[in-house]
Amino acid sequence: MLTAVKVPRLVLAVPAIAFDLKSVDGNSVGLASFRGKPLMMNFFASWCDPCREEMPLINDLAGKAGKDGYAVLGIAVEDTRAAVMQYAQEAKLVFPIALDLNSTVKRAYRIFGPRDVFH
Amino acid sequence: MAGKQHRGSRPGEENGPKVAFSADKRAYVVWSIPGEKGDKTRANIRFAMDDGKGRFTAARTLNEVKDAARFPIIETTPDGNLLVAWIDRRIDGPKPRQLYLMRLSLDGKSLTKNYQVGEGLCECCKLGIAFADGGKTVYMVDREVDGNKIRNHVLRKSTDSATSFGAPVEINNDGWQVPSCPHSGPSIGRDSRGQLHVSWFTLGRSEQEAGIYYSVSKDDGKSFAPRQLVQANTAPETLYATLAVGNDDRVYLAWSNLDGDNKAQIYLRTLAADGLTWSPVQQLSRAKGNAGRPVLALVKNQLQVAWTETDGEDSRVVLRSATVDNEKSK
Repeated sequence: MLTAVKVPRLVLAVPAIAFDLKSVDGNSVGLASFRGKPLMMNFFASWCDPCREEMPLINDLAGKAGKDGYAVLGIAVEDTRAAVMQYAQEAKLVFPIALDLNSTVKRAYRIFGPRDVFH
Repeated sequence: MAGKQHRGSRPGEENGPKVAFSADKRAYVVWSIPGEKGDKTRANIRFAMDDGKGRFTAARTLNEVKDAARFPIIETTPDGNLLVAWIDRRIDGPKPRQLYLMRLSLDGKSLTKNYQVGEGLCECCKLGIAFADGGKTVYMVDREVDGNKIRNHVLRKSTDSATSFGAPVEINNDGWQVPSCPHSGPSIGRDSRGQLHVSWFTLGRSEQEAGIYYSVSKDDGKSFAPRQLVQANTAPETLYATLAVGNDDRVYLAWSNLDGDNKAQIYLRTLAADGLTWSPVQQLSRAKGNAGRPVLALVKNQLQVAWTETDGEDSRVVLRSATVDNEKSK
């Protein structure tokens, strides 16, 4: 039987809230497609200073994800497709990015604003 | 309230363009553009003005140190100039951001170089300005951040036309510890009695404290009354607030919050001149997606409220107006 153990901003053994979004390329991105491996979700915005400061670390982790058996997903909040695409190109991001244009996933995960990381 | 819409605007952060008008209705605009590498967090302040012939002058950059300035605001001063302020990061690294000013003439000429009047600012929250004494007294509000990432709002006051400012006065010890970007700064207004009114969003020390708050200073900025909750968060969300003060000393507050369908809408409330009587909360928007970033303007007896609405990739600016009683009681 699973027991929930709460640590600041992290609750273990609780199913993640399902979602279906579109990526910056227009493809469907749903939580279900990451089933079977650990997933790190990074909620960010192209205009968010701390998001940009930590992004090299996130990107580095994403670069090793396939080899190390986990996945990384970026979820852009309170942003536009054009700005996110420009930032992804400029920062050479190597992980998929979903657009949470209506903040539905951000609110489901009870996030006040970027940045935040769930895994 | 009557309404208008303009489609095609972009939603986003608090670092948007700002406009001021002179007495003869000339417009002056400031905005920030990304720096050389396209990084919008290392940006430059641009300025342009109405050329009197139906167009704007060519834009020019105001910050003397490149790729270091954001969140500009501009106001026409009572003594007939322009005051531009922004958050600067020319001293980068672990130090918090600096508050920089610059004065321009109404012809757009630089009257000063950039000069620093404060430090310790939150890197991404809008600034607020109010004036008194014909422009000799200048009040500024900003969100500060300390070494523990605790963010509280402060008032800075100048009595020499913004040449120098005294030590910042804390408006309230909200104690909001957050390592990320609220992008939600304070607003200030001054009434005819000299009282200073401030509104802001904070999460405080726990999610239960989150909401839009208001406070007043009745001693010209030396201290502030205990904060009053205007409206609590209905769900975890960064909210955005703004205020305007009428000629009758009534305070108008507008802000965003989530409705029963978990969509962000715009709300309005007023505080009577007695400082005690609050109106009920009125919902102004019915956005299909989300509404945010309200701005208020009060001109004669017209209250104008504008905000951005987004729904997926669609966005627009909505303006509503209402006739209000804006005459000081005799």
